[in-house]
Amino acid sequence: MLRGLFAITLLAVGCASQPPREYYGPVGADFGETIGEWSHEDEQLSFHVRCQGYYLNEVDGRGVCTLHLQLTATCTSGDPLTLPLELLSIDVLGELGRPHQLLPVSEVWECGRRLDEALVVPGWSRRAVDMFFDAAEFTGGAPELLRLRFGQRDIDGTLKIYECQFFRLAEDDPRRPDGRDLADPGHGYMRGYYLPGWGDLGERRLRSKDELRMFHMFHEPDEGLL
Amino acid sequence: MRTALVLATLVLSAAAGWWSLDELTFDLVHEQIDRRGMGGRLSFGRMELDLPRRISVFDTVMRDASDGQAVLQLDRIDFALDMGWEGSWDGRPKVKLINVDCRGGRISIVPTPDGLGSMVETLGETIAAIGALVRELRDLDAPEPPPGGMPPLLFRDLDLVLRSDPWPLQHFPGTTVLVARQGDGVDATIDFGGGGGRLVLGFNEGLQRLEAVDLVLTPAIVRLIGEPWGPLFARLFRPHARADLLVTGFGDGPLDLHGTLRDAVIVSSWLPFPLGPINIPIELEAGRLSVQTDAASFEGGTLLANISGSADDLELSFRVRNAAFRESFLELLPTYREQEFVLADDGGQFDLDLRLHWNFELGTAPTVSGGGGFHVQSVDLAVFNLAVRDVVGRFEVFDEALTVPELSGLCAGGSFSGSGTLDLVDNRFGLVLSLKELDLAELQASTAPEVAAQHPLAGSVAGWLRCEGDVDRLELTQGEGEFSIRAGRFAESRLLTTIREALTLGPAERRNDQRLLAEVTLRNGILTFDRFSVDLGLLALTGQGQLDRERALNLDLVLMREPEGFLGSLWGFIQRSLIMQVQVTGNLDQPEVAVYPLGVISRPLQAVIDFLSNWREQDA
Repeated sequence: MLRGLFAITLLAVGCASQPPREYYGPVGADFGETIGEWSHEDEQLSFHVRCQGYYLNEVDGRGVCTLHLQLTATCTSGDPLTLPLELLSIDVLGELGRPHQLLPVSEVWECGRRLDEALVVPGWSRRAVDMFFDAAEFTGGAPELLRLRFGQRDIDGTLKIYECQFFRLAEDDPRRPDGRDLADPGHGYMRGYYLPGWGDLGERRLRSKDELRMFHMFHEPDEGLL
Repeated sequence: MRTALVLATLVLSAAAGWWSLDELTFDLVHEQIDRRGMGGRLSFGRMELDLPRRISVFDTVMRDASDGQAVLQLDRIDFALDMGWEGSWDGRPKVKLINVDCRGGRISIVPTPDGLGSMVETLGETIAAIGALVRELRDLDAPEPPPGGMPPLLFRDLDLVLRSDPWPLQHFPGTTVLVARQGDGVDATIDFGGGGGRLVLGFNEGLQRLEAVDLVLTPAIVRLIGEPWGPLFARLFRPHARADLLVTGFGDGPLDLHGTLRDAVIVSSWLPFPLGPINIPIELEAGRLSVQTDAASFEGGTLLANISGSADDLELSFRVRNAAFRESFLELLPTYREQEFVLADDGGQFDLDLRLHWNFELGTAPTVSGGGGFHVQSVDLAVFNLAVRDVVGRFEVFDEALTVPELSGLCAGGSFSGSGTLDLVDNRFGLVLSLKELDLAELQASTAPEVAAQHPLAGSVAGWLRCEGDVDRLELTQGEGEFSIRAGRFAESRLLTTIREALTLGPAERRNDQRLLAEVTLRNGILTFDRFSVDLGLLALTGQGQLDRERALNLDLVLMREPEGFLGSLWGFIQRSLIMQVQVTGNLDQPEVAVYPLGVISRPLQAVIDFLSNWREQDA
C-alpha cells in the first residue's frame, strides 16, 4: 500500500521519469564483481569511497532521486581529520566532463548518528559514513559521470580538496549486480553493493542502529526479496 | 796489596750500596703506602729493582676500601729511571732522580657499584704517594720539598681494559697517563689509546675537577658514573657518543656538570629505534640534572627528550612524532619472536609521548605515563594465516595501566575494531573486539584454503567478543560474545553437510540469504554456544553446545525442515515442520552426527521458537 502511495508521489515529481536504479564504478580503478573503490593514501590519512549508485526513495514524505556514496576515512597520524559537510558535494558531469548540476550533501550518517557539521576523525582512528545527495530530479536522468568533492581542514587551517569520479555501469556490464543473486533482506548488501531492493527503495531512515556495521541499512527490504 | 784492598773495599761498598739502595727503595714504597693508610687499598705482588735504571712492579691491585673488592689491576709496570747517586760511608747513598719514564703493563678496571669513585680516590692518593716517593728519591737529605718540586710522571703504553658487565669489554691500547703539577694541585691527564679521547682528573687534596675532552662514551663507560645514575643510564640509553664535559664540586660541595654529548646514538629499551646522531647538552647544577635535546631527527621522525633528576629521583620524558614503523619495533614486546602470533611488515608510522619516573629511594620500577598512536600498514595474524591492513590505534598509559581506547583495521573485505586495558602490575587485561562485515569467503580462503576448495562458504560476518584474563595465563581467559553470518551461503559447510547426510536430505539450496547466529561464552578454554542458530531457508537448526581447545565438538541441536518456505504464523510453522533432535560430537574436522525424533516441545524447541520469533521480527 505504502509503496503504491510512494509510486504515486513519484509520479508527481520529476523522478517518475528517472530509471529506478543505476550502479557506478570508480574511474581509474580496477574492480570486478565486488563493488569498486576509489582510494587515496598519504602519510597522514587514507580515504576509500564507494558509490552505491543512484536510486529513488522517499525523504520527509517526498520522493527524491538520490546518489548514495560511502566514505571510509582513516587518520594514520596523530592529527585529527575534519571534513566539513559544507565542503561535501557532487558535480554531475556532462559531455566533455563539464559539470552541469551541483548537489550539496543532504544527509551524512556515521555509526548510526546523523552528522550536522563535520565528520571528525580523531588521530589514529577510522570512521565510515553514508552520504546521501538528493535531488528532485537529475537533468538528463541518472548521471553518466559524477565527481565527488570533499575538503579536509588541517589543524593549522589549511584546506585540502579531494575529488574522485565514478562512471555509470552500462546495462550490459557484467559487473552490475542486478538480477543474479538475492541479497539477505536483513543485511541489505551483496558483494559490497547496497541492495535492500531492486526498484524504488521507499522511506529512508536508519534501520539497523543496534547492529555492528560499518555501513547501515536505511531502507526497508524490498518485499520482492522476501 | 793496598791497591787491592782499596779496590775490594770499593767493590764491597758498591755492593753494599746497591743492596742498600734496593732495600731502601722497597722500604720507601711501603713507607709511602703505609704512611697514607693505603695498605688496604693498594698492594703489589712483586717488585723488581734494577737500580739505577729500572723498577718493575708486578700485579698491582687497587681495592675498594669499603669491601676490599679489586677495582684496578695492573699486571706490570716498568719505571725507567734516570738516576745519579753518590755513595757515602754512613750506609745511605745520595740519589738524584733526573727523570722517570713509566711503561705498562695491562690495566684491568672493574667498577664497583659506586662506579670509579673509590678507584679515583685511591688513584689520587697513589699519585700523591708516588710524587712524594719521587721527591724523596730525588734528594733524600732534602727537607720535604715544596709541591712544585715534583717532576712530571709519564706512564706510556698502558694497555687499558675496562670490564663493566654486562657490557662489551672496552680496550684502549696505547693509553698514556701524565701526572703533573697544575697550580697547587696535581692533574692526571689520561689520553685513551685507540682514539678514546682525553680525561683530566684534577686533584688537590682529593679529586676536585674532572674534564672530558672528546672522550668516547659507551654504556660500559657510562656505567662508571656509579649508582644510581650510571647503571640506569647505561641500561636505559645504551649511549655511544663523544663527550665534552666539565665536572666540578667533588667532595662535600654540590656537584656541577656542564657539557655536551656529541654525535650521540641512543639505543633505549624504551625506544623502538636507535636515535641519533644528535648533540645533547647536559647540565647538573645544585644536584639537579637537566638534559633537554633539540628536536632530533631519525629515520622517518623526530624526537624531543628531557631528563631531569636528582640523587633521589629521575624523570625522563620524550615525544616522538611521525616515526616510520618498522617490524623490528615489535621486538619491544617481550615474546614477539617466540610467539609468532602476530607478524608485521615495515610500513606505517607512530607517535609516542611518554614520561618515566624513577624514585631511587623506593628502588622500584619506574612509573610510566603518557600515550601515543600508531598506524601499521600490514599485519599478519599468523595463527589464523589472516592478513590485516591499515591497523590504526591510540593508547594511553596512566596509573600503572595501559589503555587502548580505540583500535581498528581492515580485514577480509570488512573491518574490526576494539578497545582494551592492561594492568601493568598484575598483567590482567580486558578486551572488547568487534568484527564488521568480514567476507566469509575471503576468511575461509585465507584460514582454511583446502577446506574452501571442497566446502566453499560465503557471507558477511559480524560479531563482538568481550573477554578478560591474565597475559601470563591466557588459557584461563574468560569471555562472552556474539557472532553472526548474514547474506550467507554455508549450507555446504562440513558440519551442515554431515548433518544433512545423517538426515538423508538432498543437496543444499544454493541461496545467498542463509544466516547463522551464535552467542558464546568462553571459560577455561572451552567455548560454550549458549545459543547456536542457523537459518538456511527451508532448513533451520538451533541449540547449544561446546567446542574445546582440541576442536572437540558437543552440540545439542534441534532441526526443523520447512516444506514450503516461511509462514507468517509461527504456530502453523511448528505444526507443519519436521522437527528432529540432532546431536553432534567428534571434532570440527570430522563431526559425528546422531539424529532422534523429537516427541515433545522441550526446552530446545522453545529456543527454536524464541530464535525464529526474534530473528524474523528483526527483519520485519
